[in-house]
Amino acid sequence: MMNKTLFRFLLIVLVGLAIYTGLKEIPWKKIFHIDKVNVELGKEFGDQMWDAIQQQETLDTNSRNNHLVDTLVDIICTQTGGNKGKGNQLNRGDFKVHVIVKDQVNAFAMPGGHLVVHTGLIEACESPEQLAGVLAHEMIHINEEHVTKKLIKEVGLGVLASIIGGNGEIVREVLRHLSSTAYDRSLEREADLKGAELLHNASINPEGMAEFMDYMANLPESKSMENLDWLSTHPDSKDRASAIREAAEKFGPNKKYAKLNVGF
Amino acid sequence: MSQITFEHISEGDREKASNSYVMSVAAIVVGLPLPIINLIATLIFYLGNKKSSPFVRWHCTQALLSQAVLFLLNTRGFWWTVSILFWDEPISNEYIGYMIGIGVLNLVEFFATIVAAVQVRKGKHLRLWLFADLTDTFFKKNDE
Repeated sequence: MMNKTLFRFLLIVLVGLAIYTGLKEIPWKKIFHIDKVNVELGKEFGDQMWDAIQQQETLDTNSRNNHLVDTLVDIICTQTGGNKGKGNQLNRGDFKVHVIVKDQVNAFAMPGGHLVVHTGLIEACESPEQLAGVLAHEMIHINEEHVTKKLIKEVGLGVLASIIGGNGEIVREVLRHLSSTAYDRSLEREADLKGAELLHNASINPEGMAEFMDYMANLPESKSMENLDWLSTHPDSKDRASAIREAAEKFGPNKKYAKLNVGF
Repeated sequence: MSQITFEHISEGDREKASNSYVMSVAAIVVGLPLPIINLIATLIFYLGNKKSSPFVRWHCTQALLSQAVLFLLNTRGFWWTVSILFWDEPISNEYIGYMIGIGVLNLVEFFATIVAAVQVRKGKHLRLWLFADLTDTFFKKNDE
């Protein structure tokens, strides 16, 4: 009987493994349109968010600011030089750039390709390379669909919290906090490093991005907490500046970049 | 080594043995999505009935073993889901396949447990495939 039990056990393990191997080969993501649903939901959500922002905020009509930001995004998308002369080859149409009048030093990306820049941030930048650094960072958030991924996680955590039950609101907050800190930082790090690569590929000096981090890190805490949204969601500016410089070294040690001539 | 059989099962024993299955089903409903709850519930019931009749102990053991196997598979699914929700683990075909697999297995287990609870309540000595053999082995070793 022991042999029979062992045989049955081995049989069930083998059948289980065979079923598992079969199940994982099925293209479930395609069947359930997971990626497509994410992109479409994200785009719709981003468009709605932008509509709401448009109603509440004042769009900057200053042609200089709009022209400056547009030109920098153009350059990041299409200018060649780095990446073995291929540049980034990004589709310019994927990015919808908006400048709004606000003193806060802030820029943010939304699903659907919306990249919003505050005039306060443009004024805080001391060179076009610094502004390009912030834009490249936000363009990575758009390209990698970071915001959509975050939203899906938040919804998933909400569902998990409601299943666990108890005081749903507290559970949800704890889960959100636990996940968001680590997850946000990993997304920010990714946006920094890939953003620096975007700059390098477009022949823009990534040092500008690092300089902007230094600028953020050196601001008095009180001022940064009150006015700098970009900083509050992007912690450890000093470490980030070092990481960007390290990455830039790897792209091409002692590489000389031409200064951007965009009428800054 | 032959199969273990039982004769002259009392009404109280039928109820207790049946409850060992009911416990795990109730705990599944209460404890989702934490896979450990149903195992703990069955384990507590098993320990609480260590001095009961052989029929009750045998069915408590069968219920416990079936829950333990499911617990291992569910735990893997639970932590996989947590890593997707909390960290940057992507949703893959492998993950969806695994979750569908254990979902079906949980359903089969759920209905098998209900059937077992009903049959045992009627006094029938219901033997689940494989788990009954394992229970016989486990049960005899403990009795020796």
